[in-house]
Amino acid sequence: MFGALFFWLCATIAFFFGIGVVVARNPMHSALSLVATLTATAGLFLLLQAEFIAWILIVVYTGAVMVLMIFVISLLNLQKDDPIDWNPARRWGVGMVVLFALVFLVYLFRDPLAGFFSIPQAPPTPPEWGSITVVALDLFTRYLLPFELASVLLTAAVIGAVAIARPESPERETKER
Amino acid sequence: MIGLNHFLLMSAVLFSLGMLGVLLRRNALIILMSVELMLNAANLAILAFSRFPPAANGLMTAQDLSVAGNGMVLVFLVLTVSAAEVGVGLAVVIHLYHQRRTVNINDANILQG
Amino acid sequence: MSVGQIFFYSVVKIAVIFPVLMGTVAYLTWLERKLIGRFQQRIGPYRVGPFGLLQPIADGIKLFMKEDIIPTNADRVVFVLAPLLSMATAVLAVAVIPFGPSFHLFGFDLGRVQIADVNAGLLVLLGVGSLGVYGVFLAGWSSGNKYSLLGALRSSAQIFSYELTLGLSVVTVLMAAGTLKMSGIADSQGDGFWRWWAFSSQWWVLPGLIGFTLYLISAFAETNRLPFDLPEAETELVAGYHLEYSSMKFAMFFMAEYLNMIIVCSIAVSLFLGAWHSPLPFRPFILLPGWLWFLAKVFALLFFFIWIRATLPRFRYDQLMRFGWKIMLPLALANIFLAAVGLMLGG
Repeated sequence: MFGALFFWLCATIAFFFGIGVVVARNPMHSALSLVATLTATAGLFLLLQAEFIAWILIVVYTGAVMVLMIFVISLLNLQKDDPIDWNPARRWGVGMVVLFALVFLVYLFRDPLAGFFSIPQAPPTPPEWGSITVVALDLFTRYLLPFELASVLLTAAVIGAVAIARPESPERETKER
Repeated sequence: MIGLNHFLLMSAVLFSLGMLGVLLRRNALIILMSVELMLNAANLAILAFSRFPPAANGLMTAQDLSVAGNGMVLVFLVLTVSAAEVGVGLAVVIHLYHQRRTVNINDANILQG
Repeated sequence: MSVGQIFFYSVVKIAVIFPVLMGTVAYLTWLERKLIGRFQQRIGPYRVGPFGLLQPIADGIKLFMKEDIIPTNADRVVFVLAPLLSMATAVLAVAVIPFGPSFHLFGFDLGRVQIADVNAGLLVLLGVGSLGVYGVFLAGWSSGNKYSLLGALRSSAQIFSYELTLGLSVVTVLMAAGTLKMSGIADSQGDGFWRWWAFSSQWWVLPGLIGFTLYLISAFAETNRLPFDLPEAETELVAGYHLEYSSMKFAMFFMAEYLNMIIVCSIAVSLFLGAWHSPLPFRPFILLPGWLWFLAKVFALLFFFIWIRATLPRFRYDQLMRFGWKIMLPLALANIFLAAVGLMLGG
């Protein structure tokens, strides 16, 4: 019963702040709505008993990635409000998204008696499932190559970000000539 | 009783919201944030399928554990990649701002036409 | 234990721990003023009540009575939200700190002196610390004041620069204890100070000492205490991110800062100084309850914090950042390697 309550609480928060991300006029409000959505999503992860991943989401995503985003928003000092753009191309896009959502809902409710409302019990989890040990065992033995590639990717991203975002200085241009 | 369908529906809703954000907004930073929203919706779907594996009728065995743990490893790697992507994306937006003094994607149109 | 039982016991623990916590925050301000007064060869507050003991109450009443100003240029929602975020993240961290071992009262097993013993307790502390940046940053941004924004940028850059070293020094204890559960980390240490992770021979002492030192220095930077308090010193940048705040909102930032201090000291005690274990493993020391030892150690660390504040000069901002990235971070990485080697050879 508490699980269901927690699910609906997190789902409602995620939904409304997700809408906030899309419709907020001020980019900072959009970023803050995204932070709230991510926190609610971490709550949903906790319901799926992925405890380690939920807290890693908070530490990495809300604690680092969104702070970086908020820094950039405030450094660029974007004052102008930027409302939603309803030109024809975008109307087609919105139509497609709504169609997709409707199709998915129809699929979910296709068999009203046995579809949505009779859900099999979640299987009981083995001990330590969702803890750091399970993830680490897999990550450092079976998935070692993707792990190392991910660290190479992060290094490349750091170097690339610094190289791209460096301001063009006159001395640098004359040196390159 | 909360089951697989609830989480999949939540994932679809968040993904659609993210897609709407990418399609409807002109501010490059808000588009980046909507992409993050979509990635998180995908993470939610991965973890939901990991928690409710196909053979959901009986107990999860040790073999199911080693297969189901993959969901969390995949989400971990997706988080890493999306963090890297945000870093580089923000660098590109900053560079765009240095060149054109705007983050409106309609103004980045030199290659158009 | 059923859900209802867990809920009830947690509520009881919160009802006991929270007032004690708020009282400690209030009297920490008194202690700081008294101690700094003594370090500076003066008496500190002595008028309001005996030994100035009613000073925090007087301060509270004063802050409560002040006019609550919201600047015209401020983003109203975020302006009010920022001090709430600061307080909320600070208080949230208290939930997973292991104050004491499991205890029995009139034959009932009441669990540990810990509000929530989650499996990923250490990650909760790191996550909540990361969320603390938002309170600072949003305060500066939403004030509509360029000085506040600059102060907030500096302060939040400082916080998340030293967060890396903090996390890495905590990882060494994670490696040694083998679990993220705070109670597990507390249990992995023992009575007798040579069994605490800071001084343990299990990894040949050095990684523990270095880890503890790195953690303490990062803790100073995280809580914006001297020698790292440039972002909020009154003489620098007109007092930084909480410039435009008055009355209760300012009081919340003030309380959140002292609360953060208590929390980083508590984490240092839990991870490195043996949590609730007594320093000597024989009578009469082990007769004292665990939470009393915990509080004594936290008090000792807080005394150290205040002592350092009275003694050291302030870092300049570029010196601060250079120290954090070029000296502390490589040291923390090397310490992890050292800890791994130590655990393999010594354990």
